[in-house]
Amino acid sequence: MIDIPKAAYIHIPFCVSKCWYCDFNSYSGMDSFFDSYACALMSEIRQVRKNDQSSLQTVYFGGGTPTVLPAEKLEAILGELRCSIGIDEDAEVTLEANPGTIDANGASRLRHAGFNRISLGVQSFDDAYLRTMGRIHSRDQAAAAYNTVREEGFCNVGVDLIFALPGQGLGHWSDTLDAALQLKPPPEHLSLYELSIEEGTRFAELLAAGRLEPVDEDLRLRMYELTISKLSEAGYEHYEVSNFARPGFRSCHNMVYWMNGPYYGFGAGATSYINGKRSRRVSDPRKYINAINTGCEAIEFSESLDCRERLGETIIQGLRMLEGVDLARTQRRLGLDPMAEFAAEIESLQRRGLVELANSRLRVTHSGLLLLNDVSQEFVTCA
Amino acid sequence: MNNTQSNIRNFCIIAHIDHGKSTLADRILQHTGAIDDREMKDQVLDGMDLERERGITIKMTAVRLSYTAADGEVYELNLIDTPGHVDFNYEVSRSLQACEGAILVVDASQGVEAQTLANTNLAMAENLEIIPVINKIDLEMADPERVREEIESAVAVDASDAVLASARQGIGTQEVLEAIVRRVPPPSGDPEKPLRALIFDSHFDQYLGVVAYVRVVDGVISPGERVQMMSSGKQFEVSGVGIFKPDMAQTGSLRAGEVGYFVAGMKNVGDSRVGDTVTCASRPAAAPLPGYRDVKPMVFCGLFPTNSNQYTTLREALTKLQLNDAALTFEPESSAALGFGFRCGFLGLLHMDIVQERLEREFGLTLIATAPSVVYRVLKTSGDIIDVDNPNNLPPSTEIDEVEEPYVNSTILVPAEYTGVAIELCRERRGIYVGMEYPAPNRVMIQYKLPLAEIVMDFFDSLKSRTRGYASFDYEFSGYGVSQLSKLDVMLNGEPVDALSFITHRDRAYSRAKVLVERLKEVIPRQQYEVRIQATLGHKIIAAASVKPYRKNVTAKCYGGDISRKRKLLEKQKEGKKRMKNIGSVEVPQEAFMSVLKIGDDA
Repeated sequence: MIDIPKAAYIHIPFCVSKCWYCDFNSYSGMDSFFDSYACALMSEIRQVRKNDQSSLQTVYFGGGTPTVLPAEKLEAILGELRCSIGIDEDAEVTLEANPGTIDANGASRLRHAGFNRISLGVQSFDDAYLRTMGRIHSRDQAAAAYNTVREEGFCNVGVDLIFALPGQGLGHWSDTLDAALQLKPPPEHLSLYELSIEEGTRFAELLAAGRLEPVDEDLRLRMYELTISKLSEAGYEHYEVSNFARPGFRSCHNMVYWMNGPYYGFGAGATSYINGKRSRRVSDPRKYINAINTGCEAIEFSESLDCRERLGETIIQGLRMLEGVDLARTQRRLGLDPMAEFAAEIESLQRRGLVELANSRLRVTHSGLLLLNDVSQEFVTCA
Repeated sequence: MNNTQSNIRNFCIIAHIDHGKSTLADRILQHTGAIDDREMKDQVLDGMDLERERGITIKMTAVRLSYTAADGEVYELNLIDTPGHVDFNYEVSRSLQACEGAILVVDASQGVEAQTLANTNLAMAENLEIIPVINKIDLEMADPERVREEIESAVAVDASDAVLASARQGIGTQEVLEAIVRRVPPPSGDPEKPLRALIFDSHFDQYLGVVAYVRVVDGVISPGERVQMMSSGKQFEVSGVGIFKPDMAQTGSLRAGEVGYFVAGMKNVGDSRVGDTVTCASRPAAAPLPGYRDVKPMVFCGLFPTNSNQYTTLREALTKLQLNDAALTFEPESSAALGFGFRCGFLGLLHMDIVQERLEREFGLTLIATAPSVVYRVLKTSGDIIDVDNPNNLPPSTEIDEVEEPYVNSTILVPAEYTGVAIELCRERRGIYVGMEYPAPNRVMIQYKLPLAEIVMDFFDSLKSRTRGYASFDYEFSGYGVSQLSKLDVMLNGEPVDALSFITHRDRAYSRAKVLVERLKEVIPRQQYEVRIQATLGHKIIAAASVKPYRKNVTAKCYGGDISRKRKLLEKQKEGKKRMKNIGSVEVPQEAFMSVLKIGDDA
């Protein structure tokens, strides 16, 4: 079966400065590469052979901070996608933006260029925390950026926030959520991530030096529970571990990942998944530019999984969604019966009260959601 | 080479760990041309990687060297290497018995340490000529004069003409060789008398069988001869004799005074026991050489493969190691908690560590070791006396009349300011004060009688940490003594975990139980359900703790499209879980089984 991607991810690996918790592929101080990077991206996109049936239903510009690039560059890249691959009329076209990097002119131009969804990295509404995270913006700038994109015609806006920041209490997080919900109009989508301290970040250094007190497990749990109840009261669907949406506003692009569907990936460090083959491009923007310009492969890692591994991944990804995995559909796609392949695992998880079966879907229970890593472990195979 | 007995010198080198024994041996080998510089790997005598890494000598070797001395004569020098560690005291004493002289290496800045004392005492007991060498004189901290005085007062050896050396830089090697020739007496012994040869070591060779290392005391040994082991009466036909140069080289025979090896189709190192006397079957000697004893393991622990299908590999691996290591014993043991494994006996803790490490490294095994136990002697009410090397074999208290435990005489050497802490530790560990001496200014030698079980429980680590690494420690078995001992058991969620049981003194049971459950609480990770940890004495719960269940374990981020990263993380976590043992519904990490060992200090 040939899986033609209908989703494309474009990675912009640049930031004004690196945040203290961030382990994504992003770099600051590389302004001089903006032009050549955009050119390389477009040339990588051009290499995809146009296929009439394959125009894109979702496009996602992520980073880094895509909006550090001038609006006309982003416009040009989107134009290249439209021209080389094609973008559906009603496609979801998301742009990640950070307060402090987007103004009215830019927002207007991007809206007209075809971006119709903004994912705004706010992270916190507390100036003190914003500083200790290494963010470049203040609470007021975040609110201003939100209002700007609204005014310039973005009707689908998501806000990202982080909880369990060092020293944060339950009340503080509750206030943060209130602040987000009181935005006018309230965001269509909220991504509410628990902080995880990743290797190689400034936070990890501080933790190792004993200068950062992580939030204890019980409090993290209470913060998460509070998040779920507050958001559902406010009329949001909790549709993925960390994601909440007003009805009809789930992130279609991210749903492709969670359903383990195919997608293109363009740019430094971006991953694509086409016909069961996952390929990751080199992370360093300079190496990426070089590889593309000299006609070399920019791929630094790729893997083709066998059917059972793909099945395992499909379940692992699918269980992140609260509606779970459609078993019948998965069996049709992969030709393996999940219930037979993972009979013992599913049975044991059911016994432990972590998953349940309903209408041919396998989904996590509330305890299963909280212990999703344990659940997921059952579906990987050790060497 | 001049083969007359008067030109033979048999000697060994004794030293504390890290005082430079192996380096000096290397220099001697180079100087006498036994190996050329090209072949020179550091520390040739230590054949095993593990020895080289740990800087210790486990297996002895004997090398024949040819040396032309200042007097113009050619001497045959036999360097017999000795293991430096207390675990191998008996082997040390046997290899000393094969020599007439010993080079005593003392670090010019560290001075006399506990092992120096122990080994020198052994050498003096064998009447060896002792040649002090003060090594590492090139180091900035070196103080040869102070060390000279220490040697004289601590070990009562005349150090006035001690050789000052730096083995690393090759300084003093010649002087050491001259001193050996001049001061070590040639071997006595009569080549005409019936054969008596001392076995001081052996190794197993895949093709030759057991290669026995011998010092011929009387008579001659040559191929074709039938020999008899005087302890067992077993007879073998000698198929080859030779010397180590340092590789094995066949010679026609070995005569009184000489050191070398023989092979005789022996299949098991148990056939050539260290300390045994080899004699001629047709013309046996009247009496064996003195000092032979059966080596008995002192410390036991259970070794279990983490993965039960490695059981056979473990058995094969132990069998292979035993070919070379007569002191290692093992027999099948089954544990409700850990499945099938082996109860293994060792000479001491270092021996145990080494065997365990070799099993993992050389045979690719992943093992869980239970806490080491000593051998208790139990007098039952029925009048029977049984030896118990596994806490789970301790009879119920109603059947016990009396329990005895092994004691050791220990020697601790510390700078004077640590006298207090060292004594305090010995007291905490149920030590009985024996005496105290001041072998050198600012250094104290403390002697205590201690239960071996207390030493097995992390004693040396505690001693080192409390004295900031300045203490040195040595001990020897002294005998059994009656003690008030009880068995402590551990339950996880109500299920007894046999592998965590241990025997302890009754007065310490409560405090140790408390520390143990707290330790277990630290090492057992939070899991889906609460884990209750209870320690029981008889049927009484005397300490308890619980590991709260975790309620949240979910990665918030989805890593965009890079699912492989998430999958690899999950695989790694799952791999980690596989290394844990499932006891009932509780996942117990390997460290838990060793935590029993670590409770000595806080209890």
